[in-house]
Amino acid sequence: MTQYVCVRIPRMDNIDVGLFDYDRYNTLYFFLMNADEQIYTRYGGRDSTSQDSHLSLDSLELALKKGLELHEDYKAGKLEQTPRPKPMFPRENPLLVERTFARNVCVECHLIGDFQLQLREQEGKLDKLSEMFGSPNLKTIGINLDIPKGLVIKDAQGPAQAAGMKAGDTIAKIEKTPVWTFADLQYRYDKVPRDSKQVQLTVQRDGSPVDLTIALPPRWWLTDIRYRQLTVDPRAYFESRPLTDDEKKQNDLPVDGFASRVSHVDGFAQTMKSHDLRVGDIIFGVDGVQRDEHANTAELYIRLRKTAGDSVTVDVLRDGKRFQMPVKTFRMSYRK
Amino acid sequence: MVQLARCFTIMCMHTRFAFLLAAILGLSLFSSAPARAQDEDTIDWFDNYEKAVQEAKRTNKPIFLEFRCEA
Repeated sequence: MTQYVCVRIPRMDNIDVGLFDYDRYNTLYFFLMNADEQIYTRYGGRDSTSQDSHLSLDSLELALKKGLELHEDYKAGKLEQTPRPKPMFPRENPLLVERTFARNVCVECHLIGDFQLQLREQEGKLDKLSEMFGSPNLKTIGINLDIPKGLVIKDAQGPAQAAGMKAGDTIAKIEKTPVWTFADLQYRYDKVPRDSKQVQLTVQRDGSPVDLTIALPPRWWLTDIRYRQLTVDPRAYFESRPLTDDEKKQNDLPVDGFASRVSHVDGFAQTMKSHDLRVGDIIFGVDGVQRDEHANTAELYIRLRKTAGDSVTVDVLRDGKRFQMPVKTFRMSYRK
Repeated sequence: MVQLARCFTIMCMHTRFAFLLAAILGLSLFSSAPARAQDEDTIDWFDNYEKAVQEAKRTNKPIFLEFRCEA
């Protein structure tokens, strides 16, 4: 650590968040860089299981060593320059100014993330597939990392295995961009357009690079985002699971529709008078719509297609009877 | 190794997350000697980004930048 100049930023007030772009729902995030503000690598990353699910002392040590190597390349003039992103500062977001600067409260990382999304929502530019469902889980495509070893593959399954990925491979590039850490990989994977059908990875195997093309399954971006404090995520206080094709046929519902069974009803549903759904109910329509190119459940349809605070009418099948029910969605209350 | 052993002691006392933080805050991770005489448990942290960049220019060292939520 003494080979680095160490700086800790607990407040984001005057930070160029365009340069230091990262998933703001990380509790801890590091950049290794030089005095010309060229970022070598990043360290951090997480998933829904915990804030430190991808952190380890061993992988941090690997990252720090790689940072020193890249710094030597930089000093020797061997490091390729990367274009600097467009600067952006928290004070440029009027919603953030109103809720933090004007009240003299901390400009927290996740507030920057959420108010950026709110601003996009107000401007009609919010892309929920990429911005709400951020940092897709690599396990969805079968990539299981040996976390202490950085980007070494512990186990490849599903699409990754089908593409030829093997245990012991080390991921070196994604979409032709070099990556050194899980945070690098997760950051670049998050930039893959959500309508992509495949992603290109290069792995190191026995000292040689091997290019792999991994087919992306439907809804590869769908990730558990319950740990994120997202005000742009309409809260309807229920969860639902997709029906199988057979279940849809048995209930005379379209096979390509998002009919789904309610699997959980949050206690807030009653408190907030959101709806009267019960576990086991089948929801087969929302505001008369039964199909969606991305949603495979009614819950996901509402999240993707409705705005927090909207009221909708759902088509419900309960005990063989079909009826309609109003559902009111909510915006996270503490940051209305 | 002594330093890593200390880390594991800390790990036993705190959560994994706290362990990682403690390791980063207080312990040198490399076997090579630090560039200048320094208490091995002490890292001189900057809390000002611009000053850290200036220091990196002066010393020709890379920067370790931490974003950390303290809320």
